[in-house]
Amino acid sequence: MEAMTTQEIVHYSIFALLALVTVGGAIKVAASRSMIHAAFWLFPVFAGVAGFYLYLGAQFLAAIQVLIYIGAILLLIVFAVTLTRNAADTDEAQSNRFVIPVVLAALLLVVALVGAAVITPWREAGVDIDRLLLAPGVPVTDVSAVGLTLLQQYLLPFEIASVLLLAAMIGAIVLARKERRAPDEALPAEEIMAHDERTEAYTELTR
Amino acid sequence: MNHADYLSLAPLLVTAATAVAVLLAIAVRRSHAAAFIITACGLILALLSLGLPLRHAPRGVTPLLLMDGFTLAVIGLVLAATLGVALFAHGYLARLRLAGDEFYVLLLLVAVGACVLAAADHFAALFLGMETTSIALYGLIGYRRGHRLGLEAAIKYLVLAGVTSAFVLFGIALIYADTGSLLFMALANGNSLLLPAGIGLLLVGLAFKLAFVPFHLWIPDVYEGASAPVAALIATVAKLGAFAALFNLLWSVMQPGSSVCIAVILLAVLSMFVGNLLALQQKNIKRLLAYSSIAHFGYLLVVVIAEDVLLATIAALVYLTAYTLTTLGAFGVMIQLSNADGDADHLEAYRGLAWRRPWLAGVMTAMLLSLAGIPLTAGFIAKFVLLSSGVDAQLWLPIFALVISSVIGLYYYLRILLTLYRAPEAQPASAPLPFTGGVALAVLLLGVLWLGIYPAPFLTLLEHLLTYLR
Amino acid sequence: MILVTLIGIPILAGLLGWMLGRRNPAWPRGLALAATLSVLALGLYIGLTPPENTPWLRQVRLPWIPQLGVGMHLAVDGLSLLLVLLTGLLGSVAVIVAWREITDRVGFFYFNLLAALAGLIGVFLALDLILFFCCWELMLVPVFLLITIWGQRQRHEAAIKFLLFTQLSGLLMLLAMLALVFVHWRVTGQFTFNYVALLGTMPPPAVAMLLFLGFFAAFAVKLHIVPVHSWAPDAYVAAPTAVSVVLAGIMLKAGAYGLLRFAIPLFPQSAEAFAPVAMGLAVITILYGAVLALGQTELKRWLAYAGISHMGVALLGVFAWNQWSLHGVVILLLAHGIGTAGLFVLARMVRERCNSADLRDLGGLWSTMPRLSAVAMLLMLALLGLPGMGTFIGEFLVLLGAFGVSPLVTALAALGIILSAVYTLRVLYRGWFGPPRDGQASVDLSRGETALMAVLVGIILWLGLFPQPVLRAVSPSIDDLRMATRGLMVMEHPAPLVRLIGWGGER
Repeated sequence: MEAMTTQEIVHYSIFALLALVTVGGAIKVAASRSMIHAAFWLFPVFAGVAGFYLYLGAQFLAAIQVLIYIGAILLLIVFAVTLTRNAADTDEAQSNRFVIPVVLAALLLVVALVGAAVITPWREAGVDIDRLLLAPGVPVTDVSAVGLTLLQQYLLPFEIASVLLLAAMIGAIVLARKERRAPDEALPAEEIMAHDERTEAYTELTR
Repeated sequence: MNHADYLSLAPLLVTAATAVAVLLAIAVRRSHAAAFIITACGLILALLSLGLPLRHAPRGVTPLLLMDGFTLAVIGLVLAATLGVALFAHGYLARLRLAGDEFYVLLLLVAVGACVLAAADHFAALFLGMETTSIALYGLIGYRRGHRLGLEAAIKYLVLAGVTSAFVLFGIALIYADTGSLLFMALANGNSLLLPAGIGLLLVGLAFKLAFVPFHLWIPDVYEGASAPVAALIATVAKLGAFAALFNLLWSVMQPGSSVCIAVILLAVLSMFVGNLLALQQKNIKRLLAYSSIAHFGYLLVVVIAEDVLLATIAALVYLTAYTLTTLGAFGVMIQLSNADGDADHLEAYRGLAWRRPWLAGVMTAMLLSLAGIPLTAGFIAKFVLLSSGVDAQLWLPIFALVISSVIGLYYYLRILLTLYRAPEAQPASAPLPFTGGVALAVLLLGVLWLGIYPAPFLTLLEHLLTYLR
Repeated sequence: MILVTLIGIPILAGLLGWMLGRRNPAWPRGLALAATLSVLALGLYIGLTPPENTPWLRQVRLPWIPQLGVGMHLAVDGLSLLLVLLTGLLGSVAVIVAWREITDRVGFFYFNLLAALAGLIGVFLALDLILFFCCWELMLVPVFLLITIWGQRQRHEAAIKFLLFTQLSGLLMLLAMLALVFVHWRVTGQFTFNYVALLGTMPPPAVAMLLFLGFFAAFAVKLHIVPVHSWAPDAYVAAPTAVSVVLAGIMLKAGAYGLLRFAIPLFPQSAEAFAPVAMGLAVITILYGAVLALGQTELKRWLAYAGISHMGVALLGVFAWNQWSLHGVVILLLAHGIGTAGLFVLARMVRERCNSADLRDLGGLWSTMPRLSAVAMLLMLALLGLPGMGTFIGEFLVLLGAFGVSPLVTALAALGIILSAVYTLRVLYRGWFGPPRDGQASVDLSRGETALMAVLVGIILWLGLFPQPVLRAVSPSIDDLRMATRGLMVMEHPAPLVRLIGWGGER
């Protein structure tokens, strides 16, 4: 095996670092016994993925990743966790009876994907790995081109997406507003009590 | 986008515009009646506008959507089913004294999503359609805010839809990595292992949506938690869209003996047996219908693997039509019996119905017989065409599974039927049938019987539509 | 068009009666009786006027679902005409029996009864496989409802068992029909479910055998042949009398008709290969039914097992497939139908009078009710095959025909017929002779009841003494059926089969 150039060493170590941050964060998310810790551990995961995008030259995606996942989703999750539960009092087991099948399924998926990635003849498929690895950070997409495509060729999905957002908005309003019903017609107490066991987990959330 | 494109999209545009119109009407004045009337008129208009795209069919509207005969037929079914749910929901919401206006907006948006799904010819459209449908459904499932099971169901559906999206997106990404295209057609010319992996993940995602065994665990809980009209919506509209997408997606890659084909056969056989067997023990009609719908979509998978595309398409459409009419009818009866005290989803609520409310019991009888596939109902013709398609393709394993499991299925339909005709315990005062629900039930009953007794005109219509196949 | 009317009349009368029945239960009763009697009258009219065309007495073909090759093809020949007449006759009996028995939801009862009868008539007339299948299934649901709503104890279990058995076998038949049609389509390019067109399709032998078994399953269930008989006693006992009359008197005859008309002519080679097994099953059925009938004390259950035994004889005759045996089968079907119907009605009368139809509670009926007892004796003697009664002619001809095919099987079957004398006389002895029990009302048959029973007994005697008109009516049909198998059912040359069937019988 020929010796790696300095450039290669640098690139591989960047890759390794990013991978370590992402995967390590993901493992901590799954293994944390505290909800709030798990939520915060999502930060390195999202940031690591953003780093990958930058590394592969997709600056636009990296920016989107930071904006949406870190800026919006992570924040939302942290809010949700802190508001719905007593953050200190979350020392619960993070596993249930499905743990073995789930691990097996996950392993199967890993094997399938790694297998697919290894077996695939990337070069024949026209994917230039060398360029990706050896000249990282060089933009492969033009951000303005993304915008133009979105509003010209993909105008229709853009519109459908706006319908989707409308649905999300209305749905959120429906779920969040006060119930418009006369108080005397409220549900009888028995019915509220009836399903308490099954819905205990959601009780906090919906109050 | 030119003139013909807009004409081809007319049904979708009208439906989406109706949603906006309802929103505007709400902004002016909150009124259940107004929202309902606008919705019903809009849906009828959308149904009428189905004739417009026909002149240009089959036509790809941008690379995203393809309006061909099959798609238009499914869109017609989706719109009709939405209209049916709207008619039922009108009386239901009034009885429950729930604010109705947003309900109709979300209902229309579900329909738009399902139409996009049915017309999708591109993965972006597939994904957007799926998301529109599911996001609008969260709101609908949790619509009865005071109802704990409803909220639980909404969250279950949220988690399910999230998982589904993850699988589908991952699948799409892998397919794109292999073929470099997001068109459905790209599936036919992949050259690496990424493609089957991608198709597999996509299949898992759609199997979650359509609740094929072993991806079915969510469906009984969601049906039970959702209010009866919403459960009807999930059972018909949402599933119609997803199935049409699956059908459009797979028929280009389906070769006999391929791994995808084997996976589909496995899903089909498992769904038939597990669905029917689990339904045997149910005392809750909603859960029972949930399991029965698992089995029915298991039967339907036979057409996905059948060889003769024309026969398979006709079989799919006939079966979907019969299923939609029948399921809506069964839910419709349940909705008429439901009131502020809760949905009539327990078997006991139907005890002696034939003597208390003979007309509703008659409709329910027809629907149950149709679900069981007894002759002179739509269900028989559907099963007949489906079996023809399967026998033609010599798919003996799924076909025998179908025959045996549908006899198992017959048992629990009979149990409901027996309950309908048992001696009633008490004689509660029967509420009058609301006009809207009554009309919808009458139309569904006539449809089930007409399709069962004299299906020739309907088949002619389908044949005509399918000359516009892609 | 007269054939469409035959099916339409009961359905229309049923619907009309259902609608009018809310106000006055006399409407559905009257309409039902009018409908069944007019079926009888129309049947006689067809039989007595010269035929329109050959080979059918009457025929009508209308389009139904042309896209699927399904047509409304109805036709009647001597065989189906006799069965339609039987339907009209026993349908009228059922209507009359239900007159007093059914008092609640009368309109709905008669609607279901008439729908079942319409389905039966359709089965006897249909020459399109899908139309046949639809009619075949059309009788199930009404009978199911009749048993569940108006039946006696354990009616739900009995009804569900009945429907599951018939439905599973029916779906297998549907599958076989579809496969046959696709085979025919591949060969000829003609996609049709028409019986006449499909005759002579020769699927590969292995396939043909599977398809034949699909048909056989459906008909064997209806005919309650032994491994698939268990629905029958429960259903007969649980059903109200009128429904038992229809079930035992007509509906199970549809199974034999299906074998004669469809299963064997469509797959002659497979039927021939299967004949030893079928005849073995027939013998088992005969003996099994007879032995179990010996132990029954409840009249309806006893009748059910006796019926199983007799249908074994019919199956034997069908698979012997020669002139003698087929004529015998037809007579047997008619005579057994009428006799069993009469006995079911009689069991009901006994039950009305003594509050029980169980032999342990009965005794000495002869001394208290002479007229009822005379009828009972005549009907039971008919059942056990006394010479001079219709059943005798039927069984004798079947055995005669079967003897040429396999003496061993015939001997065993004859043993069953001897047993039938034992179990019948046992019932007659325990129920009608000896000292009368306490608490039995001594109300003899009313004039109306006597007339009804006299008609039934008269027809059985007529079948036994002058079977010629029936034989003459049915002969052309039997020739046609045997022509359709084109001599492939080689029962004419029994030599190689004797060994086979002898072996099948020994098992």
